[in-house]
Amino acid sequence: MGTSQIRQSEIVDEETEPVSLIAAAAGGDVRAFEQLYARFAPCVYGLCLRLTSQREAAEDCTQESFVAAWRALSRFEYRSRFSTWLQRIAIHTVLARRRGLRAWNEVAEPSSGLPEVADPGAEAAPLDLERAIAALPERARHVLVLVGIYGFSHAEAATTLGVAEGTCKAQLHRARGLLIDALGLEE
Amino acid sequence: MDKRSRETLDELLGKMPRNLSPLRPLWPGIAQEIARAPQRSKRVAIAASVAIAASVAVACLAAAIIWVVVHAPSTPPGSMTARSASESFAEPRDPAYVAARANLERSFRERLATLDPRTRATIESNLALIRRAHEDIRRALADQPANPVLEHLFESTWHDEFDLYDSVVRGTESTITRS
Repeated sequence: MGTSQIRQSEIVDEETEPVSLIAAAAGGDVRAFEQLYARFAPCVYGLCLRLTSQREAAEDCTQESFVAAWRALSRFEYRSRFSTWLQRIAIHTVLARRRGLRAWNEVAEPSSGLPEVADPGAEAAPLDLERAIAALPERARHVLVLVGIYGFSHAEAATTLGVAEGTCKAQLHRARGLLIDALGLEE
Repeated sequence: MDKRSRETLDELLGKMPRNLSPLRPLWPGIAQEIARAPQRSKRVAIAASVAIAASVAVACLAAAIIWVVVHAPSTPPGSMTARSASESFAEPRDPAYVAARANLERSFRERLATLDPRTRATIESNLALIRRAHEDIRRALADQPANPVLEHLFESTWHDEFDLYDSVVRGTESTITRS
């Protein structure tokens, strides 16, 4: 495994990578894949929810992401953490869904959903911060979520979102400014 | 919220929980969907059996492998037979299949050696292009694992390499038969 390529900041669970479960699931073991789902679903759902700001969309994207992961699992090469690989699939799923919605002109209200329930074991984020993030313009929110919350580098976020790195930095700057204004923080 | 510094915004963001639990159970829907979408490995088993059966003639073997990989049913009866855009392609790893593919490549190399230098150089140049494209797409897929366009291109370049082998083997058969 290329540990140098693993972004430690993205590790969902500090325990060892579940290599045996991944191998079993790649071999078609649905129960092993269900265990992977149980372990990584909160991470994928959390990311989808913050990217979409809509609970139902996030649920759908989480399901689609795991189905896509199941289909692509035999090609997982341990060049990144499994969680990182899943997150990339989730981001692509969210973006693809968004493009599809645009094509059908069915874009829902951008702030119709918020992270209602945090992981019981995790410290809940202030609701006003969650709301402020959800209210950000979509592109700025995407960059803020990836870079500010999930620890992507600008280069990684830019590649994943399909934008230039400079655009990514500009969107983060914009997002930070909007958040500071919305929450009444000091510059 | 009290006035806080810009650094505090970073701290607040850093403290936000990454893991959130969905309100409704999502696994049943996933299980239902993946039951209809077997992984590529099941298809490989079919490919391997056909490859072994067709091992008498290298050219026929290549055609059979390609046919099986592209057309063999991967879903149970009663479900969708067409591959969805997001279904992934994985290079078969079955030992029998890998051996058969190695046989084809060996024949290709043998036939290639019989060709004139200019033709050989052209073929090798094309093969290098195909392999480079395949690796470029593989790397891109590592960043975007579920990108259907990349999936399609990845599969296409994999077939392109096979097609090149097959074309050279087939194209030199008549020459060998006559000589």
